[in-house]
Amino acid sequence: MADTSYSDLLKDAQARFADYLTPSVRLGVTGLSRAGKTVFITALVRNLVAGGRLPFFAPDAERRIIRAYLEPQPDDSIPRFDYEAHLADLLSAPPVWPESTKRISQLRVTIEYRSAYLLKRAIGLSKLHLDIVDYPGEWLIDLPLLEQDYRAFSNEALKLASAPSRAEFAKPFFAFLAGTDPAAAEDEHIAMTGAKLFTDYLRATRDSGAQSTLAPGRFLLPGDLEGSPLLTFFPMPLASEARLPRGSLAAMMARRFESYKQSVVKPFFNDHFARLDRQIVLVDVLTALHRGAEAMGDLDRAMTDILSAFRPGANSWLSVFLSRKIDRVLFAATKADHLPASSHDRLEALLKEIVDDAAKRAETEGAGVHSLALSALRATREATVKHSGEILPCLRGTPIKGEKIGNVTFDGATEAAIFPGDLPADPAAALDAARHAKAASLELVRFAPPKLLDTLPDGKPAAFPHIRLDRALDFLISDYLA
Amino acid sequence: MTFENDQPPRKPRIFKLDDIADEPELEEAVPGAGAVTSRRTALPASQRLTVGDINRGFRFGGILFSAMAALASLAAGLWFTRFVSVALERQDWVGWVAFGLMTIIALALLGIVLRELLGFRRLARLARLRTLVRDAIAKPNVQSERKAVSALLSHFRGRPDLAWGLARVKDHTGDVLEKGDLLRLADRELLRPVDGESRRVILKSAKRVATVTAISPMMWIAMGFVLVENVRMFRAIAALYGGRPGVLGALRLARLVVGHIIATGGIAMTDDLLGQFVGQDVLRRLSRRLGEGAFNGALTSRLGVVAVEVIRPLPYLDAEPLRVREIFNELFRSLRGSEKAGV
Repeated sequence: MADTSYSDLLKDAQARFADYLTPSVRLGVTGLSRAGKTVFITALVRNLVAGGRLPFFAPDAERRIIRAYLEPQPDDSIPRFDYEAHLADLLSAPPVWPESTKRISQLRVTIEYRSAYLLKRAIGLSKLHLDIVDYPGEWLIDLPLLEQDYRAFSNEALKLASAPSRAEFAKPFFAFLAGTDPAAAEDEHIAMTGAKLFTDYLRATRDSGAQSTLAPGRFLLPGDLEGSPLLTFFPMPLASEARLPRGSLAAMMARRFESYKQSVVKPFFNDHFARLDRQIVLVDVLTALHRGAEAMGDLDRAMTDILSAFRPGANSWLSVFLSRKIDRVLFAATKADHLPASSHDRLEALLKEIVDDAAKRAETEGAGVHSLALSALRATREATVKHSGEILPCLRGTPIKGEKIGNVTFDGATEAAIFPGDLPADPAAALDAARHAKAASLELVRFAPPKLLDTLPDGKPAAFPHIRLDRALDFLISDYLA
Repeated sequence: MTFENDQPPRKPRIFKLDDIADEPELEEAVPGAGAVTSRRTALPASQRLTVGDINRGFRFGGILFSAMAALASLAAGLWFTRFVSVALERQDWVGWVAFGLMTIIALALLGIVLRELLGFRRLARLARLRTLVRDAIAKPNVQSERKAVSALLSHFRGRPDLAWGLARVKDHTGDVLEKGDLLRLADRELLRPVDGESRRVILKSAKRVATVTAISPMMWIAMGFVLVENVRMFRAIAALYGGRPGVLGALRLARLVVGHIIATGGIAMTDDLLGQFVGQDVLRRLSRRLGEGAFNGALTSRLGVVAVEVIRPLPYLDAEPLRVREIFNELFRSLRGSEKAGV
């Protein structure tokens, strides 16, 4: 029958057309290691797929989301985010926090929805591909290298290394440099020794927590580049204008530096960072407060470095890309479940204080900026304890083995009610105190993941409990689902 | 920047699970200090002089009329007792039938009284719920909000049409939400479906009123019908929001509604009724009867919308408010349709 085949054809054509038009939004998830990226993505995907626990994610609240499911990886070159394994970790008995990942990964979730607009419905636009791109925050530190050549890089790195507070860590490296002539013939062995000493210096600086996190980021977090020649270079003192003699050690270093830029930094920038539409930056404010001044300073500087990647400043051609692409940035203080709800306002205030500069810059560039305290997977429940006439907001949960409060050590199996103490009311003063104080200003107990017992009728785990994950989603992608 | 009266940050502490105080069980919604009464007593009574105070004294007219009414009812009562006792004295079937009928009358009366009382109680409970919610909104804090929402949940419990919404709100009562979010959620999940239903009720009543007004031969019939239909509508709306009143309750509701319209009338008139007058004018050119029908219909829908406002336990937080204009437009369309069809 001609009629049916025509209508079939038409339907098919419409479906293909809609598929072709189906927009995809790339959501970048970043943060320093241990900020909670993996748990965030796992919980986010689980909540989207299972549904029913996102009351303030507008499209879901309006019942316009039909379903969401995982789709095969669109980019063949990027590893897939191992959602199933991380989910299994959380669902095992006893549940464990998934292992952190140290490389870029991606996951595509397709959301089928009913548009609020008649026109969109008529065209048949009813899908959105959400590509979640997870990459370590440390990689962002490399982006400024793109505008430097080896000479500039060396000058800056050496100047930083000889600063009084850092000189101690850099001593072996400087001793090595003193015995090395940039004009000498290239030698792989010398290059490797130098690179190792340079890496040691960077690592020692970072571990001391007292120094700024330094480029190149991959030296600290090599991922699968460990031992590659790309990471075998180091800064050298160079005379300002002299050409580098062919075949010299300096020329070799310059070549490697350029390769590092070409094959590590630039691909990351071009293939990933510049293509992002939305960005969420996870910040673990609580742990830094807990660990005291050094960790706080560390976080501060690392965040400044990371956030400068989002700074489309006057001298930065990043702005061309940034102003066009990432139009919404969400800063999220993770692990809000480690504080009672009454303290979340203060946590948010602290976060705002930390990201203030970057947020302002992004805002003037026209990007929407928002910050909130969230917990992608809620490990605790609220409770109140009456203690000597005082009513204390407490958290019920199972602290991880080895955690301590006062002289009590937890065994990782018993549940306890914990009052984690108050966050200070004034964020600026608190950060100031935290940066200078020797003692920790907050006692924080890490909790084990909750036992996720609820299941859906199909036997799969129900959406996880969370704090404000729906608000985060709402800010990040709800306009795509209009 | 620290203030002297800032509490010093409290130290962390651990407790055994036995120390956890149970969340205070939610008792029946306690009436707040009674906002209405407190407003009345806000001014010392001695300072205010009312017309009633000035006119105090014997009112002979009143005495005359009460005495006459008492006499009349006494006469009727005497006649009735004589009739009943005569009937009961007869030991034949007439006596038994009379006895049976009287028993039925007594039972029915008792039933009606009980139902009215129950209806009043329900309305009172709804009013208490409203105060609870209003307090929670005025001073947003998680505790009072939880309390208000769980009172709301127990108010609607057992409603099969709301089972889904109830379950959804219950799902989130334990979550950490922003202040005010729980109430918004309840508004969206519990009250929005009810709003839709009451919109249908209002529209139906308005249509009926409009049609009857347009076709009734005498104005008095139409007026009587409007009255009855409106009371019926109030009852239906109150029943939808869980206040199911009796007839007296519905009349009290009607009083509240009218009071509300008078109190807010000025603003609402310009907002909602302007379009109605314009539309009605067009309609009146077509037919005077239809114009009157439309006017009565518009009035009914306005009364209905206000009734929803008065009885709804929550203000409109997340759900779209019912709009008179929108209901009226639909009514107007259907009237024009029937007019074209030649009715």
